[in-house]
Amino acid sequence: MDRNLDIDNFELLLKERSDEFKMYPTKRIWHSIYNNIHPGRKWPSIAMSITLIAILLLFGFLNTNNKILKQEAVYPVYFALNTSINNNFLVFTHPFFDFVSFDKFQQKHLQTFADNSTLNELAKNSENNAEETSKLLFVQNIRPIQNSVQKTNLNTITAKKIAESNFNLILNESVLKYSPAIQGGIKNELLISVKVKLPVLYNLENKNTLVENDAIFSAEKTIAQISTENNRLANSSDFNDANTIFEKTEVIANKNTLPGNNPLTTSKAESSLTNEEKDWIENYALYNRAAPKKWAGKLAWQTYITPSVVYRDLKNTISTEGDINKSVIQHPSFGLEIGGGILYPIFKGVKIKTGLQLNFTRYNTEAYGNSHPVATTIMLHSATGQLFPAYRSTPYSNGDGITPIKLHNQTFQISIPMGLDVKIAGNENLQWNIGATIQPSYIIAGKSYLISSDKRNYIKESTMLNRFNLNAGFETFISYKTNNGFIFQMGPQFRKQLFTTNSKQYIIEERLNNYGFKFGITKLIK
Amino acid sequence: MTEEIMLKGCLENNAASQETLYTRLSPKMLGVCYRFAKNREDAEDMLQEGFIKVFAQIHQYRNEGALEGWIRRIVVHTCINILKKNKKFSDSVDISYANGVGIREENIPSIMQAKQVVECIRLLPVGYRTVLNLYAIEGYSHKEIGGMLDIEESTSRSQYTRAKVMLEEILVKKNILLRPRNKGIALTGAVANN
Repeated sequence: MDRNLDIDNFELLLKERSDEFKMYPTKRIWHSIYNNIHPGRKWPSIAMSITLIAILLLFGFLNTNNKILKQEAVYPVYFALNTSINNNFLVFTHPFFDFVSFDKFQQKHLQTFADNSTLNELAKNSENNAEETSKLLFVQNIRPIQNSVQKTNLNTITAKKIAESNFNLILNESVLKYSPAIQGGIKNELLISVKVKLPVLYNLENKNTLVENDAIFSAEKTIAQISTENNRLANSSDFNDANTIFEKTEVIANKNTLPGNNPLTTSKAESSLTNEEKDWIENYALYNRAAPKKWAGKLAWQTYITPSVVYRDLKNTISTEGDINKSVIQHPSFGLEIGGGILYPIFKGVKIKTGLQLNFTRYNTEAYGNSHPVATTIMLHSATGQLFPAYRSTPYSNGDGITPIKLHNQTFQISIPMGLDVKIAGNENLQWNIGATIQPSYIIAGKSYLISSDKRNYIKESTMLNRFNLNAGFETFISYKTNNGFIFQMGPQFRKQLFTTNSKQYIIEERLNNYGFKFGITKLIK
Repeated sequence: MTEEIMLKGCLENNAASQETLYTRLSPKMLGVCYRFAKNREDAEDMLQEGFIKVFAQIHQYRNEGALEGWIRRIVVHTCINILKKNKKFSDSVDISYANGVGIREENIPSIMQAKQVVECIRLLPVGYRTVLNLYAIEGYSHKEIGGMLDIEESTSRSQYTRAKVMLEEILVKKNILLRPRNKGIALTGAVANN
């Protein structure tokens, strides 16, 4: 710099005084600089909070079981029918139910039926009856496997309702009809076409009800085929014979269709159901019982409030002469904690807990207001231990002044308490417990008045507040469980601030102690 | 931690060394920024930007002169750039404007030594204040100031002269300076004894 070396006294004065001037920046500035030059590394408290939340989410996810049991209940439906004419009705007998053919088809051929003709003979004598169909009516409820014919009086409406409700027979699509012209086959052969809707059952462990998806099974067989099969089954007691199973022709997905791996597309053949799976169908699927959740009855939520009294303890880090607490007049004041969280038992009588808590702390200092600000200093020290005076002006003095005034030192904090509750004694309803937590805290806002280095004044310096702090809580309480599942608790609590309220640069350390009484309500999550 | 070790750590992007450097020099540098800024918040923003540049350009430090001086130059340039970007000042602070600006009768509390002087400097209009800071305190020449502020060298000289006169009037009015000016500068007793 090519300056003129002749500097007059005024400029020299300006330079000297300006170079002496120092100001101490807030912590926020360094945090911003750090985050800018180390973008990959965020402050530990943020990482810890995210880690804690991730652990809680993982914990909840692992205890929520969405296991789907691929169980398919396929009721064995056999298309084996006996035919007979009974009371002017053409009756088809099936091991599980009876079909009755009715309406005009039957009326038309009633005369022939009365002659005990077989249906095949009936078909041969018909003239182009391919389009005619006769609806089948279900007469009787599902019943144990029998071969005998059940004869009942026909009640059309009742039968229809029974059929639709109990066995999902799709009546309007279950018909008697003549076969169309078939190459190489018999024309106008009488066919029995039956469609049945069968439920396929699933059990989701996180739901209380069964989930059903339907499949439609259909078969279309001639009387001759049915007769052949019927004769075979008549000599057999094994109705699990796959030869007679209806074919699944259609899948109906209802509103409870399961995403992803739909077992309907990978359903097991009825014959491959194991005994264990059949037992499951009987015990769970049939009675709509949901499997129990692993964490049900264990995880609990809690909400609480703790009014308290806040005390302050001061310590001079550079001088041991005299007790700084005696140099100031301070009084405890009101504090409050409100929070909520969750508890989970890890051993018998021991629960871990965590949550979110809002805190308010305050204590009062007696001071005097002056008519004009006075100059004063506070002593600060750097990381290397050097002491620097910081110059301030303040209208508040300690001990003498014009107007007595109360200075409120207060903070608003948010904490994440993490800890344990341990049962000492008691039964299920009435218990005595102790608890402890560690609480990382963040100061959202606050007011701080610092004592000057000569202890004669107070300086308002909220920028010196430590934004991050750590508190420890200890409590004992009595809890009582009511009939409706709520657990009420109350008991004393002590909360201690572990680090100083203000910046480490300030030579006087301040720690707060809260003595309170906690009221809480806990409820199990089902 | 010695300066050499600290500098080596900063070159290796060591966080502890960087924090040590920041802790040592930030009080003084914030004082520098405060003289240029409108308020403390602006000063802290300038400080933040300045130190980000310091750490980004630390590898350019050639051990020519003191590290503090090198950092101070970066911080001053950062202050000027921010003022220019925010259009806080221009070279159009002409005589008529200057004459029309009265000395702000702020209620400056009774503060000691350096802060008194600094607060009085901050009472000046931003253009005068910047030139005075750069010339009288930071030691730049008028030619260099002209290049930094995009003004003529003659403009820098005239603004500095007016700034000096105005500052003297403020200091006298605040009883920080005693007249007569031509016979040298003296501080008032309360300040001088410190």
